[in-house]
Amino acid sequence: MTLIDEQHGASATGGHHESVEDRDLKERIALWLFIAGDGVFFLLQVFSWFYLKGLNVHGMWRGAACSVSAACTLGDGSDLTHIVPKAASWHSLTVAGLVILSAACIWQAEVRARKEQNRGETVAWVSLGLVTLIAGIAVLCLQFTALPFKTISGTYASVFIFFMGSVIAHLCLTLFIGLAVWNRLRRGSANLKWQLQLRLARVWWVWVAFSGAVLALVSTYFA
Amino acid sequence: MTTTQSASAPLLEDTILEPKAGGLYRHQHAGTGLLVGIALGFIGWLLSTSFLQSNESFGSDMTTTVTMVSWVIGFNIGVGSFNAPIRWLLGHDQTHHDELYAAGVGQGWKRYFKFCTDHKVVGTQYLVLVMVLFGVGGTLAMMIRTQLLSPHSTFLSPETYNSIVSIHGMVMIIATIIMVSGPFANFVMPIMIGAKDMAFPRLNALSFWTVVSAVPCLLATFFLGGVPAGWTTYAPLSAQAPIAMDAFAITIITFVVSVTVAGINTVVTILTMRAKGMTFGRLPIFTWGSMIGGALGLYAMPAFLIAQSALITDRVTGTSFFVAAQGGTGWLYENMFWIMGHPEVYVILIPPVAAVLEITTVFARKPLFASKVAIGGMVGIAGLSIMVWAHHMFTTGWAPNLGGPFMLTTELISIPTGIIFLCLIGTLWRGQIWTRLPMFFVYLFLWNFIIGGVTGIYLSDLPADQYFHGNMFVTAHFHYTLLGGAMIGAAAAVCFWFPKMTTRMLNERVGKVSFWMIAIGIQITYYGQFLEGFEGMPRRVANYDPQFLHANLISSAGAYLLMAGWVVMAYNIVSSWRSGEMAGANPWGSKTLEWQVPTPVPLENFLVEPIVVADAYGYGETPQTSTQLGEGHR
Repeated sequence: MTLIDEQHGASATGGHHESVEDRDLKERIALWLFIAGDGVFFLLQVFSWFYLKGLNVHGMWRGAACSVSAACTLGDGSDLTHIVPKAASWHSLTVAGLVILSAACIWQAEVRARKEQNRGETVAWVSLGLVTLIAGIAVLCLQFTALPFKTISGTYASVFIFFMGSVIAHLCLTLFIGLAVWNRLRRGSANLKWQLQLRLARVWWVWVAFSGAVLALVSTYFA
Repeated sequence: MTTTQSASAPLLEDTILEPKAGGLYRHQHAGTGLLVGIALGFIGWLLSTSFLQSNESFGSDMTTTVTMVSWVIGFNIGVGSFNAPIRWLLGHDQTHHDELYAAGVGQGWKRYFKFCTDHKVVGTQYLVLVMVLFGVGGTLAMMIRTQLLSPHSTFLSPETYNSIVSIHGMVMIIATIIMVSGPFANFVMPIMIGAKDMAFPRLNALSFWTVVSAVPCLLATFFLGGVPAGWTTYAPLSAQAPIAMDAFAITIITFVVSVTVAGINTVVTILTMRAKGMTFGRLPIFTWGSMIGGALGLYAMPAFLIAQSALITDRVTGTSFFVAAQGGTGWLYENMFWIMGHPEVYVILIPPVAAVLEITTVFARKPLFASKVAIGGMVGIAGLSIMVWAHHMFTTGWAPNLGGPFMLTTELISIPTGIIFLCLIGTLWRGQIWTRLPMFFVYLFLWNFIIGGVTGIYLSDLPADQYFHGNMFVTAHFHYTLLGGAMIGAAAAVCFWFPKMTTRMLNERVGKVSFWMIAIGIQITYYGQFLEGFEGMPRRVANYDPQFLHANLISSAGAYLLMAGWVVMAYNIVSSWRSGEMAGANPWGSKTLEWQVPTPVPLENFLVEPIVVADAYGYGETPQTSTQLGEGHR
């Protein structure tokens, strides 16, 4: 029905008649462009951290604990109730570790898929990756409840919590992708595309692990 | 430019679809988007007022934010934006007939109100949206100019005036960002490169409907107390603004999603979907402009996203990124904003400039003069534009030592800009110019953009900027650039591609009337504002000293004429679209691919696969032949 050459065309109708290779090329480029844009977002987060820390306006980087009833004012010393404590480092580092581990599992799944074409083993590795990712999200949620400061506790607390929000948004998107890949592999509906989809998922996963790890290191060792 | 393969096939539009093709899409359209959006927004409002209002300081901000986010998500669920990702998650691939349905087969005019994946439908949807946005923004501009008719006017309260200035600014920024990359990079560009569609048709539709879902959030600001902080919404003004500020930020965050998706789609389409023989050397200049503009947007928009996200967390959760009293700094916001803001000017400008170059070659019947240099100029502008942002902050006191370097980079940007001008003038030089309506706008673009560009050099100069920065000179400058340059370039593009998009010709006589009204209106309006600036009138003021009265009267009179010109143009577009003279496949005798396909353009554009064998602008070199993919194939 379609005019397009099955091997070389691209279809207006959602790519139904595209070759797998053509589709993969498009998706790879799109993913790298998305990562480039996300990279700008990531760099600006890191910039915000160091900029606010460096300026330390009114000594309030970690110098004041404010509350709704007694908001921080000029920061001349009189309103500072106490130094804002640092967040426990093990939470951030554990999350980073779990996400890296999760990325390693997906990497392994992709290698297995490419070299051995073994769907069962691939599904197992993806499952393991998902479990570690979910564990990472769980630890991140735990960290939210265990923070020794609130959003209103000055700039250190602000950027720290913003980092957490950013990481959790990325992890949720990764979870969505991971669940879809896992489900399609499990159902066998990924057919010919499955290795290529895994490769794309791996690239994204590694980027999320890298950016999350950098944010964890920054917020742990440069507070 | 083309030869054809011998194979041909029946039109996809004639496919008889399976009874249930499309699945859930069959029941979804803008109306269901509206209903689900309102329902989810109401649920969000109900839940947030029930559970979040306990926080005295941030309760209403939380409610507004949750309601707006719920609306955006609900609208997109209702219109069908998330169908495909959910099906992908569940492992259900769409069938060929599902995809044909999504592309609008068998739905007639109704496809324009649906999540349609055909790039031509999306382009047309964008064109209508842009016209609506310009209508809103223009009406707000008229209210501003009416207020400024007298020094102590009470037509608007100062608060309302400030809000109108803010929303006018943001509506126009959104509209100008999408005015060429929306309609023409969607409708025309894929055909120009010999592609069947955009690389990601569903993302294409997503980018349109996310903008649609953002617009009500922006307009809702009028009913939520207004945004009296200017379109830049600097802190601490934004921190002190009413809850409308939250809706404003949600608008921008949603818009950023749209522009990012559209930018990726445009770049990938051009990189991967060119027809055989369409080498980079043969790419029409408009596709270069679309690609460079799209790529630049990918750099600029994340900065807008983080600035508005941090702003909203400041307001909703009490973080202190930008509030100096709590340890934040407005400079952080200003940096992020202008890291977005200046490249964004070129995200707006580069596509219309490329369209103007494209049009000039057709009507001068000459190859584009120094085409590779013109491409280099656009790349140069894009590259330099990411290194100039702090010239917007010369008067803020931020990093005085960087003033010199930023002045230098800003002035350097006039070099690639000048090169593009030379290419444009070189193309006109000794051309056999066919002065039809699109060319009128090309000439106007040339005139206006030179004024906008030259006045920009004064603003890049540190000492001069100290005087001009806060006054109406700046307003006149950027209107000459964005309205006089970019919007006029877009108007040229509308006149040029209108026959291909609508199958009808624009009425030339009415078009010329609108042209002269617009052309004269622009000069009167913004010369008046330059005069205000020279006299020292500050911008963004609802009332002013009587010494500025005459300049304001001139500017307002010009603005009314200008608006009337746009209204005539809008009338011309609507009436010609309904009952204009029928256009052939290639009324301008152009050599680029979009003019070689039948009008109306069939689904998937080409009845036979094109193979490009010659340059797009070889007017003096390769005669046009009957082998092109013209009406004979219909």
